[in-house]
Amino acid sequence: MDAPMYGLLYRAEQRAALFATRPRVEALELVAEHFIDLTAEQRDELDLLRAHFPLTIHALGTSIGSADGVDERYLERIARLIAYARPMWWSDHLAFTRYGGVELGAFAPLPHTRGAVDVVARNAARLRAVVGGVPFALENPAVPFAVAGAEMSPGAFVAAVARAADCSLVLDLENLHADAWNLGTDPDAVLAEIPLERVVEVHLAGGRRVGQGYADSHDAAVPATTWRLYESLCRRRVPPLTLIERESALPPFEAMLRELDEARAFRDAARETAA
Amino acid sequence: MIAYQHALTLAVAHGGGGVPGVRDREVATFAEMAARKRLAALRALLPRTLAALGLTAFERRYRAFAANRMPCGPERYRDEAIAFARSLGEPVGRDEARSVAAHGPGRRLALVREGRRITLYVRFRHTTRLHAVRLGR
Repeated sequence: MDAPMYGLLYRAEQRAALFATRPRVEALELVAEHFIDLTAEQRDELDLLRAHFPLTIHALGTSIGSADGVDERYLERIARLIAYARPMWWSDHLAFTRYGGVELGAFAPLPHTRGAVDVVARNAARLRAVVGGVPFALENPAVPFAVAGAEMSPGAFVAAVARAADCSLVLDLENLHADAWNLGTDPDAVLAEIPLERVVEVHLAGGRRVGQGYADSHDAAVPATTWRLYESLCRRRVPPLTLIERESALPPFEAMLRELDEARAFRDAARETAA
Repeated sequence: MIAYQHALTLAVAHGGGGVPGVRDREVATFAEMAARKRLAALRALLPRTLAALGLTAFERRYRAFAANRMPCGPERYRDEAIAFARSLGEPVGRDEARSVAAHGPGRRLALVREGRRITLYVRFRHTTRLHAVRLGR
């Protein structure tokens, strides 16, 4: 396996700091929707970034869980972006965001059923046919509510989807933390059921308490619970790419670099234990 | 699966309603979260209208407008901002709707005529901001 990489979710406002400290950031995740029009400015930015960093593309609008299929126009735009950016892989969320042409504007959970697994597998096949050879990965989104009638556990559902769709996985540990808070799921049990050999990327982030719940806002430092999950993961398998995924309320860049170093420390500790 | 997705979509579009397999309170919370995201996007797209109406009136009128509207397509926020601003029937809304309509993705130059006033909007390379140059009175 190639050496694990440590990177960030790309924010244009941090570009100068990113290039000034480049060796400490080894890869970037780009939000597809920020580049999907492939305007002259977006192409310039992509040219610059891909010349200096390995990239992954993270999409928000594939709606791979839509029972009425994927949006062909959206897929064609994604395919053009992927062809231009040439990322290591691209990803979206295991959820649905669109039905009957209506955009929900949020990730809606799928029921943990064999029927949902079949829907995702069918849509993933279509996605591969349109987008081509760049590997595709699915991320576990934070789940705002559970849908009754589950035929399998949350971890078994992710595993079944990955097998049926024959795709890689992006594991967002902060989302597992949020699910534990909001739904009472056991994140260690979920981790135990996920096929780690399919995990290509791990997201670390922080959220906040909102009333009785916990919002996966990705706008705070990585909390201790999420670091503990990462440590547990690294003991079993160090993921190929670990990202600090800070979406808003950006801290000083150095604080994010320190979080990357902390992630590297868990990798080193896992190696020492293995040795 | 189809019944669940259909019902949840209707609930989000219309601000609540029964969804098989999900508690009503959770549906309402999810629908409200989605509505707040739409509202935040529109506030960012229509700053002059927001300033003219004030936060409370902007939200009240937006919610009345959005109750019968389904957000569709990749430019859904922009499309919705234009439709909402036009629906207000006030000069500031009409003006800002024209301005937003002129600023499509990737567009670098737009000429907007508002009565006798003509404004040229230019986006310079390597910026995301449009600069307005007033040409007429």
